[in-house]
Amino acid sequence: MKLRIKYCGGCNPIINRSKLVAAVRNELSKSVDVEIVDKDADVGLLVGGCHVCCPNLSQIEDQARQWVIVGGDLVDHLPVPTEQLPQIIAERIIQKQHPGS
Amino acid sequence: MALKTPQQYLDDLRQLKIDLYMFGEKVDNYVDHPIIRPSINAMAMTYKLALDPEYEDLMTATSNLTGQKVNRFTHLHQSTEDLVKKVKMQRLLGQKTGCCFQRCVGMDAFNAVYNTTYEIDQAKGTDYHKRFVEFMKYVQENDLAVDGCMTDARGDRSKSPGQQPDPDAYLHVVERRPDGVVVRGCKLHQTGMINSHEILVMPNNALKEDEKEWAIAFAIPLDTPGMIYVYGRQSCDTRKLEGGNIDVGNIHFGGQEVMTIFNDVFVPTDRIFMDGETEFSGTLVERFAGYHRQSYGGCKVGVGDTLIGAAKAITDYQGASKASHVKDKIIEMCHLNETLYSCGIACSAEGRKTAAGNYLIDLLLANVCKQNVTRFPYELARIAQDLAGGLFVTMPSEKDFENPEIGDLVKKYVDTGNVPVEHRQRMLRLVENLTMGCAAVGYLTESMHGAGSPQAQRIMISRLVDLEHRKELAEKLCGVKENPDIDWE
Repeated sequence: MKLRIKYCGGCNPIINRSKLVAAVRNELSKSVDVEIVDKDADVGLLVGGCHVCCPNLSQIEDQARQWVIVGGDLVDHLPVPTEQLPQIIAERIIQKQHPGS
Repeated sequence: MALKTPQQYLDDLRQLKIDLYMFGEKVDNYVDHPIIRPSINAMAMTYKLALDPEYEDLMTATSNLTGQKVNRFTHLHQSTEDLVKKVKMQRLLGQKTGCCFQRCVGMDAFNAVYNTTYEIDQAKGTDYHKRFVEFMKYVQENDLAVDGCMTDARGDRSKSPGQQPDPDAYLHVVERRPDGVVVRGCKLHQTGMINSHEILVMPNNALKEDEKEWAIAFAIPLDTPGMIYVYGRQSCDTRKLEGGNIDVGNIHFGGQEVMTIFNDVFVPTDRIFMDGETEFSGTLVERFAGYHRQSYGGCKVGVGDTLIGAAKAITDYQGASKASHVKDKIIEMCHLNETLYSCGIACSAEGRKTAAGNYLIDLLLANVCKQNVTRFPYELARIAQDLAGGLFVTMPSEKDFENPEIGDLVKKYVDTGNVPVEHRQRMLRLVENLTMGCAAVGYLTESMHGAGSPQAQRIMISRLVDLEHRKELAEKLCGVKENPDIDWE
């Protein structure tokens, strides 16, 4: 799977963004091979450090077919227990890789 | 090369041969000088983070001039989103350095000169804007750090530039040549001057029609002949010469302020962006000040984050953090700090497009932001000192802790049993550094006077608020004036 990772700028994070991404990649590696790309991705992971998740998605949306949006402890705008973030994000990425399944 | 590495930036500085003095002596290798290097490190962080995918969303932007990815510190804001991201970037840098990181003033000058020169050209048929665009392309393509340079020596404050007994009290043109002008004067308080590549000079204030020689804006390289730099002292500055790394508080980063003397300096025509247009000097000053007053709603908040962190850490170390009044005081620090941030975000979100195309902050809200910045960091510092206890100003030097005769005794009586003694030492020294040491220059006094002293914002607030409108609102409500809104048919 081709994965695009886009970070916010990290000015006021309530999560450790790089640690989270490492944990998500670890979760994904249990079921799929992941290639990190800058464009033409199957799924994009937008990693915002807080609920604002300020990066302008419209400027990067075409870099992936589907996006998973993380804003602090929100995944696609819904709250998630912090300790479950990596697992839930990984599941969401895999779901979006095959949106019809 | 749109983005420089920190090493390339350091290499650039080593190429500059500048006339710099400190403690009455000339300084040759200023890049490695222990008093100066922390300020260079702070600037270098603006280069490092721009190359990191974790920070690039704030640290970089797409240039409207070249279409290239550039460091946001060289960017001309193209939207309110850009203005908001500027503030967030500044908060980030304040967090990473715990001090003034010194590159904002140039960014604020770029944006003010860009839209002001456009308006001068529209009114006067000059070509300042075209010259400035060429300068900005050079800055962006080479990722240059530029010192925005405004505050003059100002002599007798009751007199305008043209009335001063010494005309050099305000920087002015002293000679005109076919290919440029010669200027003389002195700019004080120049934050980040000698860790920049170039200087962008602006007039200090609104000028009268007969003060054309003082209405001069231009850019020159730092090592232009005739430039003399005198490094400003900061409290506790010589601790950096002692060889330790605890008593300095912030062990990697710091700020700098430099007295900058223009001792008959030639400026070529293609680097002149205003020359005699006194009627626009007030606009340029007002806009630069507005952008810079916005900046303080980001940078000081980031430094405030580090002070809040220090207060939290020291109360944890000292076993006081569970006391309700301690928790409440830290909440108060957060409240004050986030209030400043709110002001920075608000004046950005309410920004507007200028005729030149770049965006200007809401001037009223930017002035309110800075007015709060003249007060709240002092309260944050007061609370941090309260929470830290008196030891941060009475603690023996780090050398006493290592002394073979008394070191163990000193450690024994500084030990809380909760953390290693050295951790407590370091955190107390950081509180000292931020609230009364080197970093207090930036966090406190710069908050007071930088981008204009408190009264300057109050004057702007009084000019920008429509009090008659508010008076009429009240008069309608209480029946002094008829209220046509009360008609439900």
